[in-house]
Amino acid sequence: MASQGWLKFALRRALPALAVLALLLASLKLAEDAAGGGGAAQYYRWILAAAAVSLALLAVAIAQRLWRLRIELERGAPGARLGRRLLLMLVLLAVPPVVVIYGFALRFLDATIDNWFNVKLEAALDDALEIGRIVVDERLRTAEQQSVSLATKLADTPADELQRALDEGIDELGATQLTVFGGDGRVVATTSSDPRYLDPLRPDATMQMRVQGDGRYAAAEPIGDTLMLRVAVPVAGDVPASRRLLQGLYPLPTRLQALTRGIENASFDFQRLKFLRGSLKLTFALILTFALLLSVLMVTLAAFGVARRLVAPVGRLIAATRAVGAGRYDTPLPIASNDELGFLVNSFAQMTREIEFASARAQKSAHETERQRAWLVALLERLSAGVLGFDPDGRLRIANRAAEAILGIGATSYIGRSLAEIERDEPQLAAFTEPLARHLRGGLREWREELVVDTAGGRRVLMLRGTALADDAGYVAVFDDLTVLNRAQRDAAWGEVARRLAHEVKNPLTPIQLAAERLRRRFLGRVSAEESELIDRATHTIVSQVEALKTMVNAFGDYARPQPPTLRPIALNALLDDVLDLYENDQRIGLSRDLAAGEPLVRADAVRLRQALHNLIKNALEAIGDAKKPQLVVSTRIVRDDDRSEDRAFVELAVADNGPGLPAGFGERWFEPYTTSKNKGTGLGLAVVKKIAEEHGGSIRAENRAQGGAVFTLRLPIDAVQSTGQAVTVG
Amino acid sequence: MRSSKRPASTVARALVALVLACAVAGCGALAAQQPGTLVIRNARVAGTIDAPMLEIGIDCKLSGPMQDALDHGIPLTFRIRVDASRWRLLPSDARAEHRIELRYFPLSRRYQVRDLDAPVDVRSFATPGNLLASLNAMRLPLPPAFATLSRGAPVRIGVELETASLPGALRLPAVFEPAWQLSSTEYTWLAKAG
Repeated sequence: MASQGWLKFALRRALPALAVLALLLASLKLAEDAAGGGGAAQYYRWILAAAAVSLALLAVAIAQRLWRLRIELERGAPGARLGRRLLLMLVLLAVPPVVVIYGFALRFLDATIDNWFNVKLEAALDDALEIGRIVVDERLRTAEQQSVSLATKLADTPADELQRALDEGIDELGATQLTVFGGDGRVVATTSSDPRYLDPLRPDATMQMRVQGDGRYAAAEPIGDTLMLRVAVPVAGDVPASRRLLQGLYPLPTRLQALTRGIENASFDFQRLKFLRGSLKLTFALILTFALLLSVLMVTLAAFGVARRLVAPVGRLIAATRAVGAGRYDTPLPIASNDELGFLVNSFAQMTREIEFASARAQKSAHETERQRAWLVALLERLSAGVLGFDPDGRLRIANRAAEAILGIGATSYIGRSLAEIERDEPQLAAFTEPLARHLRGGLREWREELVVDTAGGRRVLMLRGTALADDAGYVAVFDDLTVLNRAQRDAAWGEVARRLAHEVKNPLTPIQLAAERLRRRFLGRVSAEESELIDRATHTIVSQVEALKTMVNAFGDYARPQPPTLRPIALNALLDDVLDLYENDQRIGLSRDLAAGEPLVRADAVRLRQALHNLIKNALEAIGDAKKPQLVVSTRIVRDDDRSEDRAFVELAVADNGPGLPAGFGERWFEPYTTSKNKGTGLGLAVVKKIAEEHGGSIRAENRAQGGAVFTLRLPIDAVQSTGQAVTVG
Repeated sequence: MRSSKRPASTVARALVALVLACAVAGCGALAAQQPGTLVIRNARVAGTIDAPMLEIGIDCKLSGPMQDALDHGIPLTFRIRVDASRWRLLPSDARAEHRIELRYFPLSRRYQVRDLDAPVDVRSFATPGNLLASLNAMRLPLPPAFATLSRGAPVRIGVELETASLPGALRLPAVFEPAWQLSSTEYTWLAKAG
């Protein structure tokens, strides 16, 4: 990890810095060298290569940063766009001045270099040079004449006198060196007044050709660091084949020497500069361009660093803001600096803490609200009363399960809908929705009303109460199903009536019957025939009516029986067979059985169960009457009640007849005492069956058959324990 | 997004094209300049009483800018490297270097050639042709080690224009401009017994 860190540091920081340094040094060195100083000419290629590599490095570093910025922009990294804007601003701020300075520097350089080459100065220098040449030529002519004169003199000089003649001549002519070359080029004699020129200069081929062609050679020649006048003339009188050559070197006067050197140098410097003008401009332009590139790249690189440094805290702040927005309050914030950004960070931290506290409070409150709501929902779900909640616009907001059960609709599917809309879909509930809508519109604080509503489960008596919620929050309607309550109350009343009848009416009946029979025995046959007939009819009527009264009182007694049933496991099919066998031999009745397979067991009081079956058969026979032969079908079947939460099994005992069917408006009240459509009967048969069913945890229902007639179905719970195969009692 | 990127990429392409065009034009302009030539015709190490001498003949043709520079008083220096060492990278006494300077004097209108390492040998000429012709036959002193070269030892010699001796303003262009790049191919021969 440490090595990777070092590598990263070297690549991102050290290398660009080294590249900038190398470029800077290269520019300085090139500028110094171009100005005439330095001594780096032999390293130019290395310097330029290093500069090129540095430029490439900087370009790569910038490209890498640009690429990273692009990735961050595409990723939507916090602060990336701000960083880009800041980078652009910094570059736009820094680069134009650099470019402007570059342009001005180039222009200034161009103008300055051009100004060096003044036309008048050049002309003056050319004139001075020409004057120098004229002076030198004048001196050259003089030297030439002197040399010719000496050569003429040497023509008559014997060979052994030549050296002496030269020695005399050099003093006379003021020459630096005099040499006589033989026809074969050898030095015949030579003399020198300056020890630096003891070795005679040998004429080259060009010089010899000039002498042969022009008869002489005269030129000012730079010899060493000194300009000398060199004159060569043939020695007169010699035959051409062996013509000797006199060569003389004449110095210019010291003053003239200095002046001519000065003129030559000045003119030459000017010419040199004039020649170098283009190269100088090019060199400085290249160096300035180097400096420009260096500046731009350095500024760009620095802009990246500055932008990153400035934006980093903002980026972390943005990331923290996003985290806080997402509910993560533990995101670390950047270290607060001692400036406006630090103030912002501190303010943000304080705001985050406050939001965190507020959020915690809100969350706690939400949890509490949710708990309360769940509690309320649970409460509403367990209420036996139906509850409907409406908003101020009268739209349904809440309905509990009891409301759905009582009204027989899926009320939750109507959430958000008005009562008018509910009524449109469930027209049978108009008796409920219309009064309710009226009360909601009425704006009363509280109200109550008893309603009779035809629901899917039959006609129900509902006690509807309503109240407006505080702060116009809406309305709540609560309704109880009074149907069962009323029935229970009536059952209790009828039970009381039955008990009183059984107790108060049954007791006098036996003495009445006995008294009537005694009167019949005492007076029948002892009085006249007419009176006997009267006594017979009267006593017969009394006895029969007392019997009828006893039957009715017994029925009431059965209905009001105070003893609880004795429940034991009963094999229902076997019990049914026992009872139905009693009717089997009656030719007036057509009886068939359709009993469930197996032997369903019920926990029941066998006596009362027999009575219930008898009552159902009797009820069927009475309903059929004498119009046609009764056809009864007694059947059992096993059913499972899916409506209840616990999965329980029931056995249904059905007695079907071929009678006229149920009367119109048949309902629950037909199972109440003294409700009958028949001329005969006490009106207690079905009430007793219902009571027996309820004593056994079951129920009774009636419906018309498709093929005609009615069917009464007694439902009893199957005894789960005993059905596993324990002892079974039939009777 | 595409529409916002297109102008940027177009500008970038245009810039690249401009740079390439400038580079091509620059290369073309540089290639258009006629370079000079520098060829070593012959060379040998000759023994003398004083010291071994290098006798070398060089055919030199200056480029236009070089000739122009010479006529404007800018000295041109040629570096002659002689190497008779067995191993090039190891130090050896059998190596020598001479710097020959060509120069023009406007007052006397003379071209001068001189060995900067042997200042005594100075010659001047009236024309540049004569000046360059003088390079056809030069005698340059060598270190004593060249006098004892074993027979068959390879002697390598190379000549080049010394750009470092040019005026500062010319050095940078001389790196890029072919007209200022003048060097001979290496000339090699086998030494005779010293």
